[in-house]
Amino acid sequence: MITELLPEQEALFPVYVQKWTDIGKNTDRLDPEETRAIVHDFQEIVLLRAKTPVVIVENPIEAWIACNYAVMGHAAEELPGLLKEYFEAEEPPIQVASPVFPYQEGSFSTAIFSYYDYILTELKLDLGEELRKRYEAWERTSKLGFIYPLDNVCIVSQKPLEIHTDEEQRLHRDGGPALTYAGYGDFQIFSLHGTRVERYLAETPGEQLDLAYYHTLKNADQKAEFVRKYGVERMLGLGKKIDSFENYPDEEWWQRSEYELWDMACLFENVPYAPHLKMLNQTTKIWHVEGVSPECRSIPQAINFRLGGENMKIVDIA
Amino acid sequence: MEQKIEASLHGEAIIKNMPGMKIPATAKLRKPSKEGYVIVAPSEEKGNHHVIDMLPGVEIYEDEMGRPRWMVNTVETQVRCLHQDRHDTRTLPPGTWELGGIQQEYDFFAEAKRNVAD
Repeated sequence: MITELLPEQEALFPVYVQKWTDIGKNTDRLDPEETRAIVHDFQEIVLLRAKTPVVIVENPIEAWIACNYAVMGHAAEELPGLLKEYFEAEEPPIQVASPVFPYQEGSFSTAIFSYYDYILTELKLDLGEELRKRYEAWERTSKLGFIYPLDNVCIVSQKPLEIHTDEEQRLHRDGGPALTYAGYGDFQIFSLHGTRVERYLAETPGEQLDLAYYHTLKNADQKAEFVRKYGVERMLGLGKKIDSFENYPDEEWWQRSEYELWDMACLFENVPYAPHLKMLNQTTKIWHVEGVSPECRSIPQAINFRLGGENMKIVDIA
Repeated sequence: MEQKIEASLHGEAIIKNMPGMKIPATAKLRKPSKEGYVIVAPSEEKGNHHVIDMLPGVEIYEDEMGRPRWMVNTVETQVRCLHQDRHDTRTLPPGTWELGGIQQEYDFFAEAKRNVAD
């Protein structure tokens, strides 16, 4: 029995993370023949059911509407036309049940598959032939979008047209939707650093954001994303000044930078004290505001923090 | 009274004036690069790195991780940004310098998210 991993085995984690992140972010259009083959294998080998017709739709919204029509008894070949009717009608022609998450998530399941892939490949777990075959049939579904294997039809969604992430692989796009699907329903997700936000906050350039919008937000993460984009420096009026360069007339560069220490805790949920150092860029004459350790109660302490805890004399700033 | 080390700040880069400092024996002299400069503070997002020009007479020493950590220059050199509109170019007189320091910033966005999660 394996009770711990060797360092060289642990060192391979990033390889699998990268491999499956890439698969999860893949936006290739589904090949109909390949999709049918993957679905049929999944139905027969994993679900132990008979193959059914496969209908590929553009996005999860279409997939759900198609599911509703299928459950009402409509045949697979009718579904594309019914979807067109549904979305192009002035009023929805049918009442649609509240959406249910799909039975299989396709490319959104890559976190699970990365785990199994690592264990099977690196730790060489032996599943036996039968179970291995089932696992591989299941793993192949990661090439697809959402999958609803109903009794008489399997509805498969295309993968997104675009997926945007930040450096930590969180859904993120400043200036547009972070995730977009084709097709009906205008399926777009707006997200900043993994926080779902309204279109306004994602699309509006920071300098054009209205502070009044900040006060309408209730969600702490959304408020944080607003502050990040709007700029703490523009929100100083909401904070409290703690210390000023005016108290240190002998410090030439503190004077030139017009350092001020502000408590901006009002902008951060569950943060009792959030000191920020305001400073003037000597070249551009733009104000910058940057957080310093909560242990800082004065400008000297803030400067000391910024310089890595070393007590230095600033002789030049550019 | 303890003499404070003098530091020049170029954006987030900290350049410490260390007159008379002995470069560690484990330091390795860096060969001049084809770009003619060494990056002392990278700018991942915009590529606007803070650099020091490696002119003849400027020696850059690396630490054990290959990072530029010390400079000994017998001629003036310059610290600048590749896109000069963000920070003025500054001249560094001959001397011995410690490089590689980056001004610290505390991330209250992460703190707030962490506190909410807790």
